[in-house]
Amino acid sequence: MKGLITLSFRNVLRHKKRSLLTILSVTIGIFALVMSSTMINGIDETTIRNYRKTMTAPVKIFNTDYFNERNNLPLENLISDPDQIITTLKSKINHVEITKRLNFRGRIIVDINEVICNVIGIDPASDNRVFNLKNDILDENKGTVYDNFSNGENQCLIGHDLARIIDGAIGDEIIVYTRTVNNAHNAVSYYIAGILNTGNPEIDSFSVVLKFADASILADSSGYASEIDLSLNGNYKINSELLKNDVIHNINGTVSAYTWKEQLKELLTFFAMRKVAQKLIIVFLLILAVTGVTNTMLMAVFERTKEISTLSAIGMKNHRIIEMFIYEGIIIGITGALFAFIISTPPILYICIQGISLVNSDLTQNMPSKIYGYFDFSYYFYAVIAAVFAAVTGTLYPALRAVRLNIAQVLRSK
Amino acid sequence: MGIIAGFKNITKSYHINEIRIPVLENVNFQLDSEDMIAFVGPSGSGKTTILNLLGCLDTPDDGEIILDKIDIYGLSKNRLAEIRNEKLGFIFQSFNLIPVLTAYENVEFPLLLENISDKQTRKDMVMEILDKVGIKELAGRLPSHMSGGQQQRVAIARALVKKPVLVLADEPTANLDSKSAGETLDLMRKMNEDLKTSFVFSTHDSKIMNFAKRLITLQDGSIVKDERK
Repeated sequence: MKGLITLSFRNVLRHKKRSLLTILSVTIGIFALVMSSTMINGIDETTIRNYRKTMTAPVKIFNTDYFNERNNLPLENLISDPDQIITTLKSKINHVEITKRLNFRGRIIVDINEVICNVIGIDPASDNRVFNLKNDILDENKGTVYDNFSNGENQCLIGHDLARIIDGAIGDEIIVYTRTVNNAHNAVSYYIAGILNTGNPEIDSFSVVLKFADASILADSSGYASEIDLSLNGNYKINSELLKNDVIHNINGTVSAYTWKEQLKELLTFFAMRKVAQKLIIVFLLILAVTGVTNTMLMAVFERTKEISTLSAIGMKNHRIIEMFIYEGIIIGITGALFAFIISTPPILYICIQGISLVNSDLTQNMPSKIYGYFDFSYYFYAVIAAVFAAVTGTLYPALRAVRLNIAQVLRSK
Repeated sequence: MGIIAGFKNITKSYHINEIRIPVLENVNFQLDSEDMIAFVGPSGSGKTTILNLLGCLDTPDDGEIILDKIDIYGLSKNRLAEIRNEKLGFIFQSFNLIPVLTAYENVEFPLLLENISDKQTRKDMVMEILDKVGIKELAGRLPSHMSGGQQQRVAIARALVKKPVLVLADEPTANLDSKSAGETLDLMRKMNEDLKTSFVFSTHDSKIMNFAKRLITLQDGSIVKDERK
């Protein structure tokens, strides 16, 4: 009913400051909701993307007894025949890209200081077809640096945070120490061929990347591998579950295959729990918005008892009076959502396109060094629904109070 | 002239802290169409209560109220709202215009409630009545930009725009200066003559008592005098 909407609109405009404050509370609620969703989902997406491009292949093969201990990077329960498995899988699965890695703990010795690190042994050529470390080299000539690493003697790549900690630069010599497979002490010196900025703190802050053969010599592991990593040629869309099924049919019982979701199970569970917490915060914000709107509308009802009674006297039915207040709530909700849309779009676009750099920040210990927002326009849709829901819910009680007024008594009062 | 409304053995009381305070005791009367009736009496005699009952704004404890041949006892709130919209007009002491609506929109509002969807029809009806009450040129003004007399004219226009069978006016001149009060009463008499609408007043104002065609005097909730002039 157009007349009712006109009346509701003018009622909202009647107390401009009060309405503006209520609208602002809705705006702030939606702004917080949209921004936090963008940031948190962005962190989640960036983290997963960084893991997948540096460490977490679509499908990985581990020795069955290694998987549960994999976070400790042990030199036990390694895959003894990685090349044979790779050859078999390459012959059986179309378009597959496969590489192997050897991971173990070590220490970088600089002067008299030691810094704990993870050593990752990779096969440079095949690794770059499954992962993408080359692209994360901090140098304009990434290809040249990667070639130097691949072809040079005793060359290594090192995470940029770790390089900062040891004050290392390209060409510097570092000594990497470890306990070998046989628990013997071993230390070898390497030259820094390049510095990595992957966004994955496990690489950037803790890792030294060696060629597989060099890592194998350092750990005295006889060519054994910690893992075999599989992906599909870049032209093919990867379905991890299907790829895993193909792998399972072609490996023996001593090794097992895991999809990236299984590899990141703990992380994904943590993200899911954080999303639950995020939803609880959203509900809390909604309750705040509902309370704000209820307060405003209750004041409106108390101030306008005579008007409401007059409208009722001239024949306005109760449901129309409720409608009038609900329209007022909807106008407040939609206006609040519109304001939120206007003020949140620039920062969201900036975060999504430019990203926020956390390099040189202590935060990078646990988070990606650069995060990009993840925004879906459906957030606005849900935000508007939430705003209107909050506004309508906040309006219902005052509206019901309005229709319960004793018209005769109100009109009698002077 | 026919009978437009009637009270039969109407009793009404209010309760304050569980104490029953009788307001009307066994009240009976009938109102003729095209009439101008004034209920008079001291404060607390039951004048406003009678108007509220006639206006379907309140319900009696006992008795029968007939309005335009409809027994309104026990009707739902929505049905009572329909009856108020279709058959009644209200004029209040403090005008009770909607402050955010212009004079035109205030008068138009009952037509919107009656679902008269054609805009031109509504406009014709509103402008006709605004012309009749003499404030056509103030159609676009908000109530806050009008004098008390002008606001009461808008209220009269709002009450009459649907051509109701009965207009209930509770102390319509109490907030007006004597000149505006006189003009308002003249206007209502003219409307009564032109539109054949019945007016029922509750008043202390001697001017209204003088110009009403029938005077019903109340005391302590009972009719003590009913005189036609």
